[in-house]
Amino acid sequence: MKYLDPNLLNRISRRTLEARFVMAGNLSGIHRSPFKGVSVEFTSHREYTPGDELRHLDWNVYAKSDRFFVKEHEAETNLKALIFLDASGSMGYSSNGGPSKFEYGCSLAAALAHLLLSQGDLVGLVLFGDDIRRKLPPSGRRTQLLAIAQALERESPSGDTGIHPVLQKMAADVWCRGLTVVISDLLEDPEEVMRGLRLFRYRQHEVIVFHLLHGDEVDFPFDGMTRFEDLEADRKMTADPEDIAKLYRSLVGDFVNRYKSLCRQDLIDYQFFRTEVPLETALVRYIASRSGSGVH
Amino acid sequence: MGFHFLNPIFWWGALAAVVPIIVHLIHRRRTKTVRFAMLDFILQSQKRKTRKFRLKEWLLLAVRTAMVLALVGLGAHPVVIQAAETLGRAYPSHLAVIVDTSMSMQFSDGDRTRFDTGVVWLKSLLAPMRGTNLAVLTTNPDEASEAGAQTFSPGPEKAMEFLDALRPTYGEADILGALQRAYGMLRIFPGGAGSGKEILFLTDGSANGWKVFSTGRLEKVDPDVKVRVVRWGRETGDPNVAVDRVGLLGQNPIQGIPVTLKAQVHNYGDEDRKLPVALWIGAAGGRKLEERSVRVPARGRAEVTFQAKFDTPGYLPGTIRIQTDGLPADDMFHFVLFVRARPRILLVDGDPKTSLLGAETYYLTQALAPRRGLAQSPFHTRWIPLRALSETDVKKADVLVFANVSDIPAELRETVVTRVRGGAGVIWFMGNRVSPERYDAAFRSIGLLPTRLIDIRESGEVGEEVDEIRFRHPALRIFADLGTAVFTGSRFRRYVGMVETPASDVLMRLRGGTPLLVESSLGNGRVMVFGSTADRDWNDFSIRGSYLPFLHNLFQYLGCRVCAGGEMPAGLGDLVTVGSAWIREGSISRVGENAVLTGPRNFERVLPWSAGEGDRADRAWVRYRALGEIGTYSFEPTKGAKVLFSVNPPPAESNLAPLPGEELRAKFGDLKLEALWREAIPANYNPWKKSRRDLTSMLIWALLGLGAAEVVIAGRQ
Repeated sequence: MKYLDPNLLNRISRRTLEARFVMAGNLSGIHRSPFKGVSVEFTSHREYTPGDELRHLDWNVYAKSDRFFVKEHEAETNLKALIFLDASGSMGYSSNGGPSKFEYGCSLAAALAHLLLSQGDLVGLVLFGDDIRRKLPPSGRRTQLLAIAQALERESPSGDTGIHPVLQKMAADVWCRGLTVVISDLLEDPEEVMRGLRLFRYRQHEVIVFHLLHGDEVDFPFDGMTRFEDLEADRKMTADPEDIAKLYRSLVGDFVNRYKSLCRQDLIDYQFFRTEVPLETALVRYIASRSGSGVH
Repeated sequence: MGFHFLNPIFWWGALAAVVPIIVHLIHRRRTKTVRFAMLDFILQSQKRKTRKFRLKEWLLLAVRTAMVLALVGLGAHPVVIQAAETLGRAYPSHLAVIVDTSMSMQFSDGDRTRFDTGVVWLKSLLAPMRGTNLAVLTTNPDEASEAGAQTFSPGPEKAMEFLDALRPTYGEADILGALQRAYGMLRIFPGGAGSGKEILFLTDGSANGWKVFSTGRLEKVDPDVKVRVVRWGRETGDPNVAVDRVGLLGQNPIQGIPVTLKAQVHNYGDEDRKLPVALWIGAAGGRKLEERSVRVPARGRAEVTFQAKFDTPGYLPGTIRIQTDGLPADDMFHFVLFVRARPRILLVDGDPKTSLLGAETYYLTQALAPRRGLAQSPFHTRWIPLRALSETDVKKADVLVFANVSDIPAELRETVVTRVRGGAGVIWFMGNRVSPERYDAAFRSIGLLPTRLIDIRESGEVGEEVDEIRFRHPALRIFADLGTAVFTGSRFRRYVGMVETPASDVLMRLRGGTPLLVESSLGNGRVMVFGSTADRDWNDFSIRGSYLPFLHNLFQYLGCRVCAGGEMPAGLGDLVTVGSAWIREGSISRVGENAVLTGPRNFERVLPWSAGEGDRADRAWVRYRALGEIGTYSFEPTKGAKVLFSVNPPPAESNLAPLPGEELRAKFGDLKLEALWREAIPANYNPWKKSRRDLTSMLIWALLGLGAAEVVIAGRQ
């Protein structure tokens, strides 16, 4: 399995990726549920009303106050996670033998799937370009990781990108709360992309965006007159990178910051990953920051 | 202020300025291809950057090109030449350069002549005058040197070409003419103070040409034109010895008779000189006949005489030579001798007497072989009575003189005619035995008598005087300076009346108008009739002083076997001075024909004979404006005839004494003049007092500044 790196999986297997919002799963799990349940997590007391299960009466409070109070506990459930991976042509950029954004994204998707499945969550995968190319519905079966890995390996980056229509199409089928992970270089109009992401936020989904960019795309380290050919469209242009590098970097910085800002507004977890940073490092750091602990 | 480069050849390096452009173009052409995702960002960056980018590109290109040019300019060593004077310009706007090309400039006080070193100096002075209109004139204009020199042309190129082709002459400096032409040329340009018009005069400073110069004789003078006189000689003057005159002592050279030549040697120096003086005779250098040593006092002259005898009649070129000094041109004086043949004179006495004194030809005999004055008679004279004529071979006579001859036997007349046609001369003297009618009948028809004799006339005891003489005639030319006065006192009491005919020339005429001497031609010979007696019977001419030279020249003329075209050259050929106009006269019949003049250094001119004007309307002339080379010239008035003469430098040019500076300044009066001697001229002399500012350090700073600018511009995004 190309994208299942044992070292990476081993490194993250002891960690958990907890949802920050309450999830509405069918099975009990590590995630908080909107429903009061039987978990050990106490939330509040309320006065007894007829019909309440007597086993939930807090006898200690009755002994002290001679009144009936019912102890309420937060339900813990599993979640349905859907990983969207951009497989458009722009994701195919790589240099100096390093992984392409797509390969980096595949590894990230596989690692996340492994992490989620290992904590009992259901994980699905959507590979898309300007449309949905491959879709694996969320599942918690033990073979799901293998199915995801195989689906990733069969795909290669090509074609245009269309994040918004893909998200719009997928959002129509999603009604329960869950986790939506989008892995893409987001080379589209941020407003359009955000419109798509908001569809999931409206459905109470937690959305994590992994924005992948290659180091060359950020730093623009080229020199000498260069002829640039578009990876998606049939576009070509010649430029002197040394002359525009500074302006280019500024524009890319604005672009990233724009996403960061928009995501913050919509409570979307935005993560910017440079593909030259080893995935293991980036992912572990991310999971650690998410759980509030340091990196081990 | 003028901008100049000391090493202008470095500007070839300016071609390197194209290197940045080529590099730029190559840089643009060499592109690599990258497949990239974020083309929109590049496009957006480039859109914002385009104008700035192009400006940067052009700036970089300009700065880099300027750097290359600055580097090349550094090698070319730029200087700014500024005028300290407030003329408004460093060099004059119009500069007329006058070069003294007179003979004295040929003086050499080293390996090279003053002319050569002066011209080299002048060229170095003129070379930087890029913005000046230059014209070069000479003090001795001739056909070659004056061509193309009379117009101003910008920059020194044309002046340089002219100077390169310029050669010194043997003539006398025409200072006045040169300055007049220079002022005239400058006058057409706007004047006024500070107009920048100047005259630069390169001369040797010898007094020879300047002594006679006076600005008062200049027709138009511009007081705003500054004259700089650079005297390329020595202020103390230079020594020089020259042969300045050659003459004949006594009679003209005649075949086989010794002749005495006199040469005058002039020492222009301040010390006595003793030097050898030699006589050389012959064409193509000739051979040395005699050499004498002579002492010439300082600033004085000495005469040397040579005796020589020449056996061959005709022209003989020769030279008088002295030891060569700094000015070789005047160390050799050219002359041409005309050695006359000794004519054989046959005196036919028609009235011989028993006493010598009573003989008709007594005075003739005495005149042709004088016992005093001449060591040897220039004629071979034979006297015979008329009756002996038939027994005499007239073919051996060059001149047949018939004195008071009543008649010539009929059988001899044809012999005489044949002899005359062959080139001999005949002259008839009258007498009581002469019958005009018989003469007319017997001799005129066969051409032996030039005109018709009418009668014998009497004019009483006082007699008639000679009133008119054809001085241009070769036989009478010697009297030209004296005029008819030379015959004053000669009284002709009786004479023969003659008719003037178109075929005959009246050479002498009596006061009453009666021709006295008439000439006509017969074949190659000449016939003359003298209208009176050869002795004292009808006149007293034979006892007058003019009788002897008259007869000598007349018989030389009639018996001249080497005279061409009726000419009888003088014993010493014409001595022409270089630069003077040369004119020759001839018979009016030559009008329409061409004469040929040849001389040294392959000089050859074809000169047309032109009709004279005024009192010279009966003569033709040829003229050449000025002969420039010294040596022997040959003039062919008609084909086959040849007259030699010599041309020598003007004696004034041999005087190398300087004109004192005060005298020179005085000559220019109030005109702007700056005069200086060669010794006072520094190596870096610049009469316009310019200061030079080296721009090298400024260019280095500019180069550094450009380098910094290049770094800044190249580093900017």
